[in-house]
Amino acid sequence: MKKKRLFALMAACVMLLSSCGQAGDTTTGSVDAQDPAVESENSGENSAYTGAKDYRGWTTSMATFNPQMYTNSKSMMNLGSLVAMVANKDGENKLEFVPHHASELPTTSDGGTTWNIKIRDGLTWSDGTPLNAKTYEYTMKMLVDPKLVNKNATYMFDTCIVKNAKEYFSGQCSWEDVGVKLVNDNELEVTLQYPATELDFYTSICSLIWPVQEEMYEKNMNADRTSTTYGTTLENTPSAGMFTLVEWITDGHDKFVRNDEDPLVKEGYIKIDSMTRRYIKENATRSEMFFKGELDNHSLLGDDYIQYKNDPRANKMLSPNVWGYFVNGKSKNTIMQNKDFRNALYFATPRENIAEDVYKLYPPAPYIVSTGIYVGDPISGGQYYRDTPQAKAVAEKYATNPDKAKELFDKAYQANGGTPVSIEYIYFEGQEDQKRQAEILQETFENLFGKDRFTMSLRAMPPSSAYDVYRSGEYDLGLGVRLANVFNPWATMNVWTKGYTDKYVTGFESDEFDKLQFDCVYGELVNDVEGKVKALARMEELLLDYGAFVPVMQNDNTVMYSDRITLVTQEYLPFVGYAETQCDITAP
Amino acid sequence: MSNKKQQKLEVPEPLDAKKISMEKIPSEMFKNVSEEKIFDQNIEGEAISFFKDAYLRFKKNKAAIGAAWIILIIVFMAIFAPMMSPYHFREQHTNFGTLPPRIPGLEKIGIADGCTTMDLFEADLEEFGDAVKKIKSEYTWNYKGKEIKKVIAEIDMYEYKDAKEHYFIFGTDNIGRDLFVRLWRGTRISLLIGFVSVLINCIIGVTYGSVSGYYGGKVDMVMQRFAEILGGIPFLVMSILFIMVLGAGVSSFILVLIITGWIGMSRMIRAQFYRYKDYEYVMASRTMGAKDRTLIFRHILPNAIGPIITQATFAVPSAIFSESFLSYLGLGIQAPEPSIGVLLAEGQKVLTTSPHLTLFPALVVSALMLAFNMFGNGLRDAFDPRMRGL
Repeated sequence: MKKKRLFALMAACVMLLSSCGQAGDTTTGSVDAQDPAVESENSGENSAYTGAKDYRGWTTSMATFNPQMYTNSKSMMNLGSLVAMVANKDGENKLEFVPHHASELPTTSDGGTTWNIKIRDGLTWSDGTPLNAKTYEYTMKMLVDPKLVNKNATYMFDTCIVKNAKEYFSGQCSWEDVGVKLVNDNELEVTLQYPATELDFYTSICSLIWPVQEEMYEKNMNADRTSTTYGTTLENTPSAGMFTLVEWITDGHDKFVRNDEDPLVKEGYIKIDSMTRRYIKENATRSEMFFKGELDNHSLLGDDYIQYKNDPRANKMLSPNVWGYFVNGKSKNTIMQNKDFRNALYFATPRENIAEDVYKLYPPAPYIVSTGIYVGDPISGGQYYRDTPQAKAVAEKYATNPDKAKELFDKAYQANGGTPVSIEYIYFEGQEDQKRQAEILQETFENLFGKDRFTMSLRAMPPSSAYDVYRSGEYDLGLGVRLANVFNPWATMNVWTKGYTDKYVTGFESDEFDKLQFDCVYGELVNDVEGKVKALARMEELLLDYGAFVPVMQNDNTVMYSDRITLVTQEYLPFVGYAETQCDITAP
Repeated sequence: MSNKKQQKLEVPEPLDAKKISMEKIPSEMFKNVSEEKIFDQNIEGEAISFFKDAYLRFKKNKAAIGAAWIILIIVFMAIFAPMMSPYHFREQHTNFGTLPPRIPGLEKIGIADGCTTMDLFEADLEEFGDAVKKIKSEYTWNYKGKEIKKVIAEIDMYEYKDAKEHYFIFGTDNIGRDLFVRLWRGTRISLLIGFVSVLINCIIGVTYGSVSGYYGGKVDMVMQRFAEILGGIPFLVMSILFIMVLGAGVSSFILVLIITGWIGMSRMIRAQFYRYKDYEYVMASRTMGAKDRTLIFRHILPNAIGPIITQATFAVPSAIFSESFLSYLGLGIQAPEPSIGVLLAEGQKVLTTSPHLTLFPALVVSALMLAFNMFGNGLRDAFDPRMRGL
């Protein structure tokens, strides 16, 4: 009898354990929900949680915290800027510009050429060193230093061109000639070559130039002043923003704690105590960690998307960038020089299939300017460019059309003397989805144009090598993207102009395009939103007509935030997205 | 020795060279050295050659025979399975992406039936329509005070993706290509890389080791130092450099595997030459005026046939593994061509959502590794002269 009881007890234990195991195996993210205790703890928005509020984020890697070298603006959380773009802290789902290191929003007295910037009193670096107008003057000087050749030097002469900054960068003038003048310890005057709008000035010079600490910068400079190791270790990375960097393990993680001395922190923009970011390259690892509750956010990819697209934790983003492939009209491969052939590739590209079956959550893009691009003032009112009739007309005109593609290919084939055509497509190594995209393109083109007449080979390359090849012009087709400015797409269209220094060879050159670009960014259309929309549509048309770039998809991610996170905005806002650094944590 | 015997062994008186030439010595002038009878046993039955003896011993090793069958089956599938399939390895059905395995017959008993278990919101069930085969469990999920109904459902992915008339027995990859045909095509590529690289390594290694071992001295010293320097270069670094320069492809992989792959074989052959080159029969042949080439290839090298075969057998899985390893690191052969390593690398990225993409290539590569190693062990024992007669 005793034995029977013991056996029954053991069986019950085994059943209990196995049922727990099953729940853990199959109900991702739902284990807690089955425990009433945990459930009640997690429920309720803005509950009075008073424990530690550490946001557990991720990034793929962090090579340097030198803000003049690193190109990912979201990585510089330890540094402030003159003006910050933030989500309204009262939950109004609005974007706002707030003076950060500046004591007030910079002003102009002559219609946008000369800007006066006042810096707050009493700002300091994390080590106590003062931060003032001198710091910003030094920062700007170093940014365009001709010997250092910093990656981010273009911030000084891209959207807004600081007078003579480009000339100084190329060693043609002295710093005294550059339009940056120190008025006093708390005031700086910046003179531009062409007048700029407030929006452009705030979103470029005021937001993208992060300060560097002079003493540390100089200390880490090499003897011939051609490079500095500033920002490469925790010890030589000072902080002066809403967060202070306190831990940094290369290839491991970094940790920031809230800087209570920061003006915006004092104004209540930041609610979390700290942020720990792990460096995780594999999406599968991130996914697993997120659903185990070890990460607070996770980007959905591919198959995950089917299961979680309607999850209340999922938040749709809008990317300002369109991915596709560059088409080299100047390639030594003669068929590439044929416009009909390039257009045939455009119309034959099955972007709908690629978007739906490979990327799953990204929309197809029969256009160059993304749906995330905003025209007009985001504060007082504007609209997304792709919602305008001009933009819609472009998308319609350039929709995928296999019949037209075949017709154009036949013409190009005849013009090529009826000899079989062979081209090469470069994609990025280690990117599975991009490899799939390449394989679909290869199969579609070969089937559509005929395998006896057309073959396409594929070649994997690391992204940096691929872009070098695009610069050299030794390619036919190459996957890639040109990053766009959310509020000023005209400025980033400069990559297609004749004079652009870091150009990818496509053979596209157009005086009309160059003039439109200039007029929209620096010329007569600067304050004419309607005119700029028309001009943008025309620029897009010129590029598509030549076939310099074949757009495929727009990488609109869907980000899941764990249920302990309460976002400050329920709507996606241009540039700041869901402003995750401003979120609150309402549960352990 | 007795006096009688001493007398018998005495050298006969010298002949008159003018009268009797060496060729024409009359038989009566010969005498038997010994009158004693030899009582050796007569050899009964057929003489067993070296290879036959090895074969008989190999046959007794059941594990090796099993391994040989596995290798044969895999090689057969690698050659013929892509021809048997209705799908081509490049054929895409983009709307059938990542379908799980579905096997006729087995699907009726719930194995490989094309279904997958998903954790869904109840509201989403409608989207799956008839594809929902079973609701395994239901529960309520509390999200910020809101109760949301969720279900664990078994979904027939073939129904959901409108692929009911298809049977992909190993499933599909994420652009709807049949994994069965891709896997065997990939196995063919991996085996090709393995066999060709090993064959070339054998030719180089045998020649190099023979020359080095046979001549010895300064020749040997120079040749061995060269091999040591070459062998000192890290394999991974060299592979990455080669593939970056030459581009990924079957020929690049073979080249990577033979750059240093022959060194082991050459050392083994050199050792064999050091062992045999001073044997009496070699010296006798040399005295008789045999050329170096004859001595190397006819008299010494055949002694190393057994170790060569054994080492080559072990080298095949090693080459396949190297290919898989490099492919796994992203240095695989160029798309859309598959190989086992490429398939594994692709599969591991979606291991949690589509485990079948990793499972089948992993099974094949494991079976290949195991079978080649067991087969090699069998050959080693069979060719081992110490095991002769056992």
